[in-house]
Amino acid sequence: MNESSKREKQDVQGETFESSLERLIHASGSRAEKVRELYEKLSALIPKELPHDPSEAAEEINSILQDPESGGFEYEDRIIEIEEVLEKKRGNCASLPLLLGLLLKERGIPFNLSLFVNPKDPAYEEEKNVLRDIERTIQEILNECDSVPSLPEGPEEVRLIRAYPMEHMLLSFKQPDGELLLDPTIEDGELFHTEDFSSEFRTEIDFIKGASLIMRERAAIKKLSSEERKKLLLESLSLWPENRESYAALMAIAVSEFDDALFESSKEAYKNASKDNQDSRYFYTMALWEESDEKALEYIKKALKLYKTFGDARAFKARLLSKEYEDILKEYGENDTRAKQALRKTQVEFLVAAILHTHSMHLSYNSFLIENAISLAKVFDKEEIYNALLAIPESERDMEYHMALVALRNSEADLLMARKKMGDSPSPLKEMHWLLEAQRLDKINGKSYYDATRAMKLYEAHLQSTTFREMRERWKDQGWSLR
Amino acid sequence: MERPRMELKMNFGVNDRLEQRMVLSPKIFRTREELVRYAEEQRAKRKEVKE
Repeated sequence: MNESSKREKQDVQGETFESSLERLIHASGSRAEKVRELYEKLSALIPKELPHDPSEAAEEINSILQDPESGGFEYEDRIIEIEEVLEKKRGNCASLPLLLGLLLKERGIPFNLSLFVNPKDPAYEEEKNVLRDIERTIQEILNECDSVPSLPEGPEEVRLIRAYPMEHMLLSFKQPDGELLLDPTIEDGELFHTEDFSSEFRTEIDFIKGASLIMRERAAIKKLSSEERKKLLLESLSLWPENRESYAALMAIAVSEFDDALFESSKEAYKNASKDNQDSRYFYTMALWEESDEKALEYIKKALKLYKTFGDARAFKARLLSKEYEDILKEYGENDTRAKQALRKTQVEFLVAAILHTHSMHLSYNSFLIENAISLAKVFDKEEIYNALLAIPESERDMEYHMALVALRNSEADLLMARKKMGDSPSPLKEMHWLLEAQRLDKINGKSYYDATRAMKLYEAHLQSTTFREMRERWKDQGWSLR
Repeated sequence: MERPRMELKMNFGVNDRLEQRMVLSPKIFRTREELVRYAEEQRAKRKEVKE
């Protein structure tokens, strides 16, 4: 086969090297000319003579990519767009396999792409050790002092675990005696057998689906307006209608904009896309958007049965337990044994979630504190939570951080900081939340930050939304009125 | 009883962070040594940024 016919060779989806390169350029939002120029330079480094076996040829090309003397490509998590990948010689587990895939396609070398959920590698094994240590330490302190240990003071310096069921892309090669996998993010760059690698779920993808994933990553990482983000997510779904996590992202946006139609259609599509893939990620997402606490807890238990060290699922379970505790407290009082047991159960669950966050390479302990501050303050010492929030560096203090301080301390200064951090075009949900808190604080402080005209405008704009009406009922319970 | 979906809607920041978690797994490891080396490098990078 000559060079030109190799480039025109179609894969099972009818994609050629050229069409795949164009897809990747488009999905990346990159400049075609620049990408082609950089790509040609890289491609010229690959020798004409390569091993006949596709997996060995891929391993050789990968070693050239990784070799500091030639390709010099290294792993970097947030580099996803093909132009930036080629320019900086950096990429993550989506962009690097796709780049290697392009080099293989150009040479007519067959390969497959696979997407794994929650890869079970040494980091996953480490999570089991961390959880065992956490549980043992908590038990020892409970036995010695009959009290739950304090929350950690900050994140661990060396973090060895993920504590989140992330997705990972690999190249695979069918062999007469099984299958070999190749991962350009692994340092040794060597092929390994499928039997040496497992995950919660695996699905075969192709270049079009790979491009869809690149679009979803751009929607997640880049600083974009909500409209731009929605557009990218919808485009990612036009390439791959089962790109499940794009629906999860759309659900989150839909709620923040009181968009019932988008929320319901995305939730339905998320469920349909998960029919063959009910992994821990699926159960966690279902729990997040479930309206009944009991059902949400069932989902969370299923998520944790599949993945014990799922940090966010642990935190969500703790929040559900804290509500149970509050109900028991109201009914029986704090001295009742049932209340004491419920309090301890909640504290332990929060503590496990907190420690998992401190060890995680990807989750942030400070975000955990901000997200859970109000629930944490109900079951741990309120002052301790307040001080932990104050220790969070300036760079991580977002609107929600200040709103947590408003809730905990009725702080006027934080209300003003929250408004500043909210920016010029907040989602209606963010703005309504701010207005609600402003109205509450005005009553306490005798100030007039609440803007009744603005609240009325938002109210009228979203009155038809079920999502908004549900929220309004909740706000009414908290004493909210328009004026 | 409050409903989690309501709680989540109020806890708007969680929505932002959910989107952040749509990214793919950054890296997998073949050996524990590789994992430890990577974690140490990340620690050094964080320290550098702080300083």
